[in-house]
Amino acid sequence: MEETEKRSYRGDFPVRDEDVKASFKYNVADMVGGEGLLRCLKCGACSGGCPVGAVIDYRPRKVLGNVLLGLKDEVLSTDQIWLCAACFTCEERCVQQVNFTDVVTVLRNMASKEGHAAQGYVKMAEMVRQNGRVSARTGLVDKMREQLGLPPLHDPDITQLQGIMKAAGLNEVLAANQKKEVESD
Amino acid sequence: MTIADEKVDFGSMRPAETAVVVGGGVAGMQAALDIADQGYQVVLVEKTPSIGGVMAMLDKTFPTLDCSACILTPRLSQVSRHPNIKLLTYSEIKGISGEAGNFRVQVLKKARRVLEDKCSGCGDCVPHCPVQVRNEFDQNLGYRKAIYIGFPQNTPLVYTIDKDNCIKCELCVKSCQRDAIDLSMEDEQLEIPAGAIVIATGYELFDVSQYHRLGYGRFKNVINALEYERIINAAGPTGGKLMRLSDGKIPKSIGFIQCVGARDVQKGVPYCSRVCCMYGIKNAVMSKELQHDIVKNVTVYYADIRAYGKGFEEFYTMAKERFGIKFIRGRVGEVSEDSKTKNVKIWAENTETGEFLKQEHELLVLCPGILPPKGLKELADYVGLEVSVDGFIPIQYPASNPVDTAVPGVYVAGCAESAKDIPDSVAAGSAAAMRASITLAQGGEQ
Ligand SMILES: Cc1cc2nc3c(=O)[nH]c(=O)nc-3n(C[C@H](O)[C@H](O)[C@H](O)COP(=O)(O)OP(=O)(O)OC[C@H]3O[C@@H](n4cnc5c(N)ncnc54)[C@H](O)[C@@H]3O)c2cc1C
Ligand code: SF4
Ligand code: SF4
Repeated sequence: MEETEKRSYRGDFPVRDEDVKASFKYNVADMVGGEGLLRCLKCGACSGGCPVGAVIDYRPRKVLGNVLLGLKDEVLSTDQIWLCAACFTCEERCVQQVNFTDVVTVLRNMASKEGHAAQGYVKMAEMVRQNGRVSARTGLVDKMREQLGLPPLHDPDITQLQGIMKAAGLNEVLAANQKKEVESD
Repeated sequence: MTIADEKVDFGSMRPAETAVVVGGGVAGMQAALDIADQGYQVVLVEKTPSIGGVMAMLDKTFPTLDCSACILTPRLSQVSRHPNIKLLTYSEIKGISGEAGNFRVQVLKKARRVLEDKCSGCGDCVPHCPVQVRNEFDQNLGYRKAIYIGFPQNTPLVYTIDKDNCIKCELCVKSCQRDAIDLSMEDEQLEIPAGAIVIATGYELFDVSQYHRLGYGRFKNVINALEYERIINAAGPTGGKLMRLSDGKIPKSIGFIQCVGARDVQKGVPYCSRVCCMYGIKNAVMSKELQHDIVKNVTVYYADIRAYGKGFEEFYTMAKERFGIKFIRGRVGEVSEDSKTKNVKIWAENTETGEFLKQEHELLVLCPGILPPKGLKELADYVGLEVSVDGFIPIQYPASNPVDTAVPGVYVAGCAESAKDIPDSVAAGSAAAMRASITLAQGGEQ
């Protein structure tokens, strides 16, 4: 029962007036990558071919529908925008050139700023900030590279990298999301 | 008697009394008849061996389910017997010069290798011809000989030898008792003086194999709607027996996919093709009508149903309520084939419920959108017209003169202008005929 409560907005009605932020779709469409949003016909070609949707309850069309409806909180604070595998299948097929994968990137950026980034992504960003890599360098990797005749890995210049990240505002985004982690603990 | 049989001296025709209609589909036929009935001469130029166009291939027509051939066949003979209509079939336009009231139309009359004034259409030659090839009229599902008519009502009822496949064995020549076959016949170049021109070249279908994911061309039991029309047509390659291509079985479950090559910006077809929703519903209904006891599940996957015309919405409702056709709103995502049963599996989202569907059908029919026909741009070029962005012939003032092109004396009817159903194509044919007749009556002035 609780489950249905929580998920009731996934494109399912009724929608409560107070949850509708009419300007939300324009805010998204104004961002680079979000331009295609307003062209969506909700035909479902994206959902019908989505490999993620084939196995779990996730429909790109519904994400767009929720954005178009103005369900800002529902979109930005639930896991729906984090389930896309970025395979670009829908982007290739969309009859309206909505470019869903780009729209989802815009939504993820918005959600992250509000402290709603999915924890996997937060961990990954932290890893990059600390080590300059998405995954740790291990002896095993070094050995494999040697066997494959690949040049050894160089350790990136962390100070430079962190400078770029700071300028790009990643620190604030990470802070917003860490706070949330503490809160929810 | 077919007027085309007579030796006509086209050069001596008077432009002020003659119109040329290009394209012998239902729109061009109507235009030709209406101009001819007003006392003017008409030369009807058709590129294939017969007039009739796509309507001749159809089984039934929406929304009344009238038999297409029953409506068309009398019209075919009316056109061919009309004293004022000269038929030039198997002919192509090669150039147009001049202006309203005095055009010169260059026509290439391709060698049929059968004399139109001698062939009686008996078909005695056919069993003698050793060459068998696929019949284009049957969408390549059936076969014909190298000497052939595409369908029984071929108009004019004159055989044609297709030179690409003819092996010059002359067996047909020997078999013809009327000495109607002349393998040495050459193409002929004609110039026709005309005061007005009607473009009625119709359309062609979107090539659905461009949607790789939908499996057309890869899976035997994925066909297009025109192929389906031929399969259920009593005069078609299966004698009207609804069957699937992998094993000839009557399919128990059929899926129809709408908007394949329509309203798709990425594929360069942003427009709605207008007729696909209705012909899709018609064909869905026909499967139940024909094989009620066997065909259990008929599902139409659509983007939106556009049942805009008279009686269309009612027909849609009848399909759901009386025939039990299932309608699912959702463009199909994937189609795959079961390698053993050759059934097809589709993936789609039911956008009304959010449900992700994985359904199996024994036959899948893709309903293609409508494209401008090949050669339309060249034809437009000849008269000094530019086609519109969608590739069709543009109308200058759609609200006041819906069949007038920007070039005086040149009119357009039927699908050459945009996708239309049969009644709208015929209405446009009549309208273009009236406009062309006015041009003729006023000696080129409009
Ligand atoms: C599967 C399917 C089912 C349909 N079912 C229905 C239905 O049930 N009811 C309905 O109302 N409509 C139906 N339609 C639509 C119908 O086919 C069209 O409305 C109708 O055929 C249009 O007639 P037309 O004369 O404009 O074009 P066409 O029928 O395409 O005729 C054009 C003619 O011009 C010729 N031509 C082309 N280019 C040239 C050239 N350069 N020179 C000389 N000749 C040329 C062609 O060979 C052809 O004979 C259906 C369409 C499809 C695809
Ligand atoms: S395929 Fe494109 S137009 Fe259709 S629902 Fe998905 S995003 Fe919208
Ligand atoms: S890009 Fe994302 S939403 Fe689109 S099909 Fe792939 S996983 Fe699904």
